[in-house]
Amino acid sequence: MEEAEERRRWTLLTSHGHVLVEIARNPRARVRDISAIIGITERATQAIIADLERAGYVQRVRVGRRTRYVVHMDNPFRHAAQDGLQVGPFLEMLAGTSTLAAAVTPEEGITPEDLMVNPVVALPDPLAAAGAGAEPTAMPPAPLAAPEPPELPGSPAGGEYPKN
Amino acid sequence: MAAGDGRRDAWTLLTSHGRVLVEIARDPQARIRELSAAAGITERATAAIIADLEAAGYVTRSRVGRRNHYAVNLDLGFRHAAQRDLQVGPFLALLSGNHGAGTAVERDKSLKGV
Repeated sequence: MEEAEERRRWTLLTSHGHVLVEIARNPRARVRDISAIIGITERATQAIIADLERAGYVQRVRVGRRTRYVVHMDNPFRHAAQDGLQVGPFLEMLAGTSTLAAAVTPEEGITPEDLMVNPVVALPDPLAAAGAGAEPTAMPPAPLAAPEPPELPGSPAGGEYPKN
Repeated sequence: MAAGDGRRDAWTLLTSHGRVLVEIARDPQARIRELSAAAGITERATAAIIADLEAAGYVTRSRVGRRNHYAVNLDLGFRHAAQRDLQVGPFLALLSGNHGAGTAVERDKSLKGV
């Protein structure tokens, strides 16, 4: 019966895969949020994060009282069948974090460095390049990268954590 | 199999179901023994997983001569709630390296490693 239940509930990703995707989606997620999304215990989530860290997929960085994760996108898959593939494109696809989207999510304040992707480089304005010294173009080139997110009002550092 | 540590270290990102589906997308005419070798599981487990994939609508089996031919439904979503609104197509194309995953009847045999 237990086996039948397990057979019915199969998925394409393992819990390790799911946890890694959730961390890529939100590098500031808390263990309890990750465990709730994936449907495993916090203890299991913690053990998986330790595995991911030991294997070099993620790195835990302490920011104030919170943990932020850095995901190493250029790490390969572990199974031989996926030899030669990096996890980056896979995570971007499943986490819905195109590198740009991840870079500019203001509420998370995620920077490209967080995700270990190449920082966005502002492209030269083709019009300006074509007519060097000519009149300025009507529209200033839009910055590709978002400015630093503003401090959230009324939220001191680590404000999402209740005081213990 | 070695005790504790070995098991703790043997984790992967894809389940066997995920790997078999990727292998089918890579080669829709693959034999069970080829799929099982690529996924690293027994033929019996592979057959059970193919039945699961079929029951869930991810693959459709048709008989071509003496071989099975699989069609992969690339529009289907992931099964886990966290990825439910994502289609499996791009995922399979990425992991199988077969960008016509599931649709290409003629395949470049060189795509298949091992």
